[in-house]
Amino acid sequence: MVNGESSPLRGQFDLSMEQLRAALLVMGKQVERSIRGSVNALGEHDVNAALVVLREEAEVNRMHHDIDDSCLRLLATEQPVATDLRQILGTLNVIGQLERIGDLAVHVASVAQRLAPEQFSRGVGAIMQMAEDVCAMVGDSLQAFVSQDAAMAEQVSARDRKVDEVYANIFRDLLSYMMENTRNVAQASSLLFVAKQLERVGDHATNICESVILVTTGKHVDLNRD
Amino acid sequence: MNTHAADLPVPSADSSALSVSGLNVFYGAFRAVRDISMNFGTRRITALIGPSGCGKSTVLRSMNRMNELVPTARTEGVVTFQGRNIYDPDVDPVEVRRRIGMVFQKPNPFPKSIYDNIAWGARINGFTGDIGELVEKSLRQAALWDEVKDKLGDSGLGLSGGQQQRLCIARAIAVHPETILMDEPCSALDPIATLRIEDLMRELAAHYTIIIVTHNMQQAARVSDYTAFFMMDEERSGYLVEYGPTGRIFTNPDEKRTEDYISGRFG
Repeated sequence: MVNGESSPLRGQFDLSMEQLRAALLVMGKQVERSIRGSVNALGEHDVNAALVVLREEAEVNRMHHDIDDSCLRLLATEQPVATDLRQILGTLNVIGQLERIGDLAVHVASVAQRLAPEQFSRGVGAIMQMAEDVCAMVGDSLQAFVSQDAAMAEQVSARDRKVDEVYANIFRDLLSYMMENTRNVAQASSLLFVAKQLERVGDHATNICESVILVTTGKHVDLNRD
Repeated sequence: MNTHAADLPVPSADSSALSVSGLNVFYGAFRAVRDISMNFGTRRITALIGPSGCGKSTVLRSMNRMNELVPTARTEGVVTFQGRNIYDPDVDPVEVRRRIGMVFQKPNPFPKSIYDNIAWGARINGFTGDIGELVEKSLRQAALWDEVKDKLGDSGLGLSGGQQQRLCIARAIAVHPETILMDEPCSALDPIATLRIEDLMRELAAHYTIIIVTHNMQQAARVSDYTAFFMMDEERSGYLVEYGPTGRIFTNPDEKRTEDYISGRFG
């Protein structure tokens, strides 16, 4: 009767847990939108799109606080144990990861705003692809969390290796670009910073996958080390 | 709680001073509990939990032969205490109950003075030392001394519910038992008195093995080192579903039935 299956004895509590999962997905979608929006703003030289991401950070923070409050209320009033307890603690961890991903989107949006007048010759195509990959990881890791699917979490976290490889390629490419001409250094180092933010989004998605495994099995795993 | 390590191993038969093996208790033709085997941690607190009628109080009472006081009761299996089966024919049940004391759901002080509540049992058991000293020591151990030291001659029945229960605990420990069985000792008490008893249990666990039956799952989680979960089968006989360190039972039980019960999905 766990895993979202309802029991007449705890109907109200099960409803609250369902609402918590729904709120988590909404926050996840918002964060994904912020990452995509910030990278698109960079690629499209669109200052307004960057400003939207900067404005929406407050919304992400508000969702974080709302879900945090809901978890505290459930802990204080329902004394959850076992899977319920692990789910609530897992949710607290996951919203922390999402909030940090939201911050990374803001970093990218700030760079997009600053570099909007410049023309790019290297790196941005790979960065856009990387953004797609890490956004998909965030969405899938959250899906694994709400459906308590440990196998899916392991598959999603395995995709972080590819993200790390793409980041290493971007790093090499932009480094050689900088070595070609010192006038490229300012822009290339900013793009490198953007790529690093996206690489960290992948790490946060992997942390969410670790939470899935902790919630479903009760075991701590370190998926980021592989 | 320091002793709440989730990896606390379940006691082995060798390390345990009290264990039950193949325990079946019948009331007439009805089998109240079936095939219970478990070893209790020495100087640990073990909580027995489960829905009403699952046999946990029966298991508790079988451990100091209290079930024998029910005319139709019959016990099969072995309860080993300090290496001996307490059901062996040459074992004196009165001596068993001295060494394995009991505290009941409803505080039941004798209608006597506070002093005599402690002194009486000790005298009956042939205590020849300084009774006044024994009374004080027992009341101190039960965290009641400071509240009653100036009125030892007053009736035990004049105390509050929580104080009465601590008086009963003092009375139980005055005869120097090694194990204390507690059958829902806080169910008649208010939350503050309950917390005092729980606090006292933690202190007593330094000296005594404690086994407690409780319907209050938060209490089991707060106070015990080990938790055993019982259920009823289709013939309404109680059986042991899962037994393990309390930290693990309440965070990650092995059995779905345990999870459903402790998380309030049935019961």
